[in-house]
Amino acid sequence: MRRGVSRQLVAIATLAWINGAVALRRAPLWIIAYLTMPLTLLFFSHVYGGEVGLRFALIGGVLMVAVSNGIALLGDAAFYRIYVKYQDMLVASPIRPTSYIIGLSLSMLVFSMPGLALFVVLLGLQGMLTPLFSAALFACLVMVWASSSFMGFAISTAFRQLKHVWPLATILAILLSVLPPIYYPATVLPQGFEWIGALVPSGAAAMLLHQVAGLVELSQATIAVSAVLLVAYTVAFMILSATKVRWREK
Amino acid sequence: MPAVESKDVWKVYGNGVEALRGVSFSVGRGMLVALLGRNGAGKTTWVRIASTQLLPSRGTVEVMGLDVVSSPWSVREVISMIPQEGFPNDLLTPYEFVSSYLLIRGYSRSEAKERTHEVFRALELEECANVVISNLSGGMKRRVMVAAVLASGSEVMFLDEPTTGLDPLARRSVWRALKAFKREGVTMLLTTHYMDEAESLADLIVMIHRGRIVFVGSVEEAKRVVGRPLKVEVYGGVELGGYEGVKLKDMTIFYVDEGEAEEVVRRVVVKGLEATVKPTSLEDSFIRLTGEVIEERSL
Repeated sequence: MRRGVSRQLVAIATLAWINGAVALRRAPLWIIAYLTMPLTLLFFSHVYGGEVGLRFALIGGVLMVAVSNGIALLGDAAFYRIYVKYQDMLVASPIRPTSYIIGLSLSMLVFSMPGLALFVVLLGLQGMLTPLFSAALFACLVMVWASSSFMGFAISTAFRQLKHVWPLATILAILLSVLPPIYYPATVLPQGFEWIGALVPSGAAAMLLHQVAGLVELSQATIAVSAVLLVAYTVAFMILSATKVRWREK
Repeated sequence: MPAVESKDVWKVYGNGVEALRGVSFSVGRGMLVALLGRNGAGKTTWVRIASTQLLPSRGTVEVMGLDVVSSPWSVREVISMIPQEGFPNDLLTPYEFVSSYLLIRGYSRSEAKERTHEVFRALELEECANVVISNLSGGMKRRVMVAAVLASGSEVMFLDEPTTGLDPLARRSVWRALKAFKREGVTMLLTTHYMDEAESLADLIVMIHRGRIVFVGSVEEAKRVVGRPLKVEVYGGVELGGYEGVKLKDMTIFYVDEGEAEEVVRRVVVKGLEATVKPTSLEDSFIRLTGEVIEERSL
């Protein structure tokens, strides 16, 4: 019988496997579902924006896949807690709440892998995968996935019924991946207020990636604010989800 | 040291509802305990407190000598539970669901595989082990939940209505498995509405009514509460001089000795009502103690 850290790591990997890899294999239509919006936006951006529009849409697509799958944890976590009571079953076991949150979050990353792979290949075909951009993309993706899924988990704890959960996940996914300057440059925001775009994790990540890809020219201060906020969101949502998880009710 | 000891447990929710009012009882190791009570009696609330999911307002529950409030992580090492109305993940197969639960609890892959196959044999689930759960009936899904908990090898298992929704054959399959695991020394506490289930399985009956314990004892002791071997059920309200009837919602029950049954039936028929004579059961102990039936449909 495993104990301690190794047990928690196996628990995390197991949750990622059953809720990510197995779910993906059994319900592959979800890949098409979550790729429909970014591929549609890619098409229209290319038609109306040409080469530059295509580059914005490729960065936007990869971020939208990460955000929409991350925030979808809102639905999965609520479903496991409210409907099938899987969380209750796990509370009465040695798994730690943080392992549960991380395991479910990782499952969302696994679930988004086919979509991310497609966009990375398209970025490569477009000649955008320079070493610097690849490193920035990796770091941004990790933080956008982590912050979105932890945000999703934290929000899920507020619900006692499932009926509002799924539509909210869809609304948030769209709001977080279309409204901020992801498919458009932050430079269209009023001068001096570009940082507003970084008020959500996906916006901050997009501004950094646009800068590294040479699509925009932002001030050093805006870049610094975006980078700091991106890290801060990840840490803040991680702490928030860990404190909000209802492992034992009062 | 008892396996489970509940001492004066109270649970008062934020809206003022007193779900538990001083629940005290003790369970020896290797016992199978049936918690009986109507919906909303407090059974699930107690199970959730004992399985570290809910904090009590007052009182203590100790599992294997460990306090569920102050030492929840030690308690979680030795318990497992099936939640009421809990179901396995629809996208997995029963094998994946149970073996993943065991991996999460700390078993190695080979141990998880072995234990899963073993419990599937006991619960006659081998044929559907690799069928995606969404294709199984509600009863089969419930059996998969039971399989997960039985395979866990926990010292104390909490089963909140484990056989709800199962057909009679499936229920008996679960009973056989529970009895087999009990023989291995596992302590089990199950909540149920089914009187035959409690009679068939339980070493100890705990009856809860409106948050209070109204009876703790063996099935035989519970049956002695009634005091008479037969009952005459009369549909409607009726009074018979010399016989004390228990008036329920739409029925009156007279508990009688064998020599009295015929006379009671005769007097009921004279009043133009119908009467049925039945042997008394555990349900009647509950009626005697509370003046209410456990479940309307059970009569």
